[in-house]
Amino acid sequence: MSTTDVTVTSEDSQKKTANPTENRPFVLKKWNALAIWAWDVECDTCAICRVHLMEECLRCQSEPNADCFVVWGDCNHSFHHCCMSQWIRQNNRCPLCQQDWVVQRTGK
Amino acid sequence: MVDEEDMDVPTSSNFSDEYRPVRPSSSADSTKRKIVIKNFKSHPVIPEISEVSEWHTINESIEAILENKKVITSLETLFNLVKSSTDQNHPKALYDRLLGVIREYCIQLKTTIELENDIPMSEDTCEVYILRFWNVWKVYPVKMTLIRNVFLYLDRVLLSQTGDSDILPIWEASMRMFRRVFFPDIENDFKSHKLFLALFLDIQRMMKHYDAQGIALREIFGMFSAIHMNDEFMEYLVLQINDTYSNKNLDLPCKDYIKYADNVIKQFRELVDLYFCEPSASRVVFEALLKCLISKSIKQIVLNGFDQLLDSDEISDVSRMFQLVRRVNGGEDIVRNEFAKYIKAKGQQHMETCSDKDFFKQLSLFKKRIDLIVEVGFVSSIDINKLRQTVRDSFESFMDSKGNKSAELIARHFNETLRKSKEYKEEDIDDAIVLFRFIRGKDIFEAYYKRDLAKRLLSDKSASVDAEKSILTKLKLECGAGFTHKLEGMFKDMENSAQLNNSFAQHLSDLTNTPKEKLKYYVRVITSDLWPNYDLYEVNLPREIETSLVDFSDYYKLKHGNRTINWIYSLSHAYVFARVRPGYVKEFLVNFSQTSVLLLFNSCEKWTFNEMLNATKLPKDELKKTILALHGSEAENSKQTRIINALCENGDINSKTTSDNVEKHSFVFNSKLTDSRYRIPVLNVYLKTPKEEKEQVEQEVNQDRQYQIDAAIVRIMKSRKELTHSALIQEIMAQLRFPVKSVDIKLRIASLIERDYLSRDQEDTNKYHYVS
Repeated sequence: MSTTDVTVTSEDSQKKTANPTENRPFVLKKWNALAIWAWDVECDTCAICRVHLMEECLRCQSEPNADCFVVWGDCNHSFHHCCMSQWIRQNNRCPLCQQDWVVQRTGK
Repeated sequence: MVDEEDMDVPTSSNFSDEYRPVRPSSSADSTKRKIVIKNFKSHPVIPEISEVSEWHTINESIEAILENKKVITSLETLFNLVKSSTDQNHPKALYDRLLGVIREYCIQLKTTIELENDIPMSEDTCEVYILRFWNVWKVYPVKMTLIRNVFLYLDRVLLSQTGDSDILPIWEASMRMFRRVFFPDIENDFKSHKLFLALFLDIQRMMKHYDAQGIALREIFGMFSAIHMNDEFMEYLVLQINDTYSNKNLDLPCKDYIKYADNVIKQFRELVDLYFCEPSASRVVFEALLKCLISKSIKQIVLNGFDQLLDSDEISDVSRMFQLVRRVNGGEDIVRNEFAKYIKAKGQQHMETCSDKDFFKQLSLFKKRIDLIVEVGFVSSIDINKLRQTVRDSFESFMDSKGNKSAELIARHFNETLRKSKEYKEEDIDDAIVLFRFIRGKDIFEAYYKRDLAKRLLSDKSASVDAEKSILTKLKLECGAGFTHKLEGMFKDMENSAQLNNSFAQHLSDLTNTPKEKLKYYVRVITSDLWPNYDLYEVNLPREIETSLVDFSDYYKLKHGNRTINWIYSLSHAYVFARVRPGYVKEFLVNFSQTSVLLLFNSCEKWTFNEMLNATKLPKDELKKTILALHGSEAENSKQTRIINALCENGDINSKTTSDNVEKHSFVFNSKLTDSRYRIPVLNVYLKTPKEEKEQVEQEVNQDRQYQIDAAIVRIMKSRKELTHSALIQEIMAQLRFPVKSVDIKLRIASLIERDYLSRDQEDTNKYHYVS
């Protein structure tokens, strides 16, 4: 990986971090980590439109910049907000577990 | 040429002395008086004798004029004689007599030209003939002017009195007489006239010898104007051109033939312009030449060595060819077709033979050369946009012929340009954008671009954020906001990560119980689905790392309750201090797996492969790669630079460690390591081989394409409400940015019907409705 992103001189870093010793020859000096986030969901695909919850729902992909977010129900199942609002017009239950649909939280 | 203006208003000074009449005598005076008196008489009786003697005098003077003798009678006397003669007699009779004399004169002149009938006409002798003709002609109009002036009265009377259209003014009549005598039957048989042949031969002679000059040509052409023979001569010229230039030199390659043809046309026109004072002549000649030099065999000319012509660097040759060919009906179409074939063939050759390294550069050069040909060589085109379209179509047709090669390599070029080590050049990018337009699989390009961008961002190798952003703007301009949406999101992730780390540092310092000497670390958090897919796996974290990562996860959970984070170990890296031997400290730049292996040596000096596997819980392949990277190459001279040594079962150092035997060895730290650098970057073994990477990209793209097809179908159906199957397929094909088969679309339609986005018409199964 990169050799250039940190230009701390050896003297500086040795003062700050514990020096390696005979018993412990390797010491971690600096650490660059990479993490990836996703919605905290049971299933990463919306059961209604079958598009990843990380992406806009199918209908919203047709209309760029549409306001599309994720909703979690009390049952902890999650869907696109747009898909769910279409769904509850016919049936006010979670499509996955048939519990009554109550919005628990939303994510944007 | 003899100027007609001058002939119309003759003054005595215009003529040589021999025409000057002698001083009027007393007898002339009496004649003059007689005329005046006669004029006043009402019905004079004209004696026969008087008329005869008058004609005699007139005839004598005319002959004197014609034969260059001195005219005895003064011009004034002659004029009066003509006047009285005209008034007394039927003027037509006088007119006929006059023309009779002129006719005799012409016949006599003609004999002076045709004297040496036996000399065959050739380019060498034609001039002699022309000169002889000129000798005849140069005096004729002068003499006729004088005669016309003498007979001015007759001219006026005849024109005003008779309505007879056969009677021409004397000047005209004399010119027509000349024509009749010298060019009998010219209307039917202009081909055989010697003067015409002589003139044509003379033109040929002058074309062969550039410095040759045409003597008397201008005068002869003037004569044609005066005796109204331009049309006949032009017709003759066209015929001769046809005979001379048709089907000649057709075996020459295009480039040389065009040079030859252009030269002929130029020289011929130049000569005609120079000597022939008839404005339309130049055009007539040009058209005749064009017809027999180019039109007649246009295909043969263009097809013979067209490629070589375009290959050569002489753009002027190309432009010369185009200027000639485009004037021919349909000529531009032929060139355009050939040009398309040329581009496709050359491009295809490029696709087949060019190495990946040179691909972009060569293709870009090729495109520039094609542009030069169009914008300079073909600039005289009637429809240059059609040509540009041809270029676009031809490029598109070959660029996708090798699968995703073009998309991949053009994306790679962007990466090269944007890498830190290189100087960023705007025009490099503009060239790349030009070629980018021809790629049909824009999503493949995006996938490669995204991977490269990810590498640049995650390893801080980008030349500049400004350059990156300006390219995104350009790509957005080409393909719309949807195309760059994810790429922009990646930059956003980088900005958010910076903020997050600041607030995390703040958060840590706010916690009072945090120890002061804390490991420094920086965490980037990226959004899934925006970035390429990276391998995720669970490992045994070294204690030093674990605490910090847990701290961060907790903090993140606090800020974004709805999100979970996963660690991508394969793209995490660390700086590790190493005490190689007493007093000899180095710093390693290593990735996560290498770090966890190195840290193992803190607890035990010697590790077998399986022990390492158990301790780190790294995937087996990843551990193999890690060990090989730390071990370095098997070459003898790398002994000094190895970080770990492999030991055989008997404890000997085995330097021939490969992925096949690595599992059998145990490993120790190489305390003899020496390196001139303080910070040693450990070569990062490829995360993926290029082939694996390609497969992964294609898989990702294919998956993404399904969503895009779905979205396109929904988009279209939402606006149209109902459509037939074929109409829907057609619209989808038009909207998508990648090539797609109708079978695939069919599958997606079926899937959407299943998901209640569409429904089939109950009566017409070929029709779909949108379900809202």
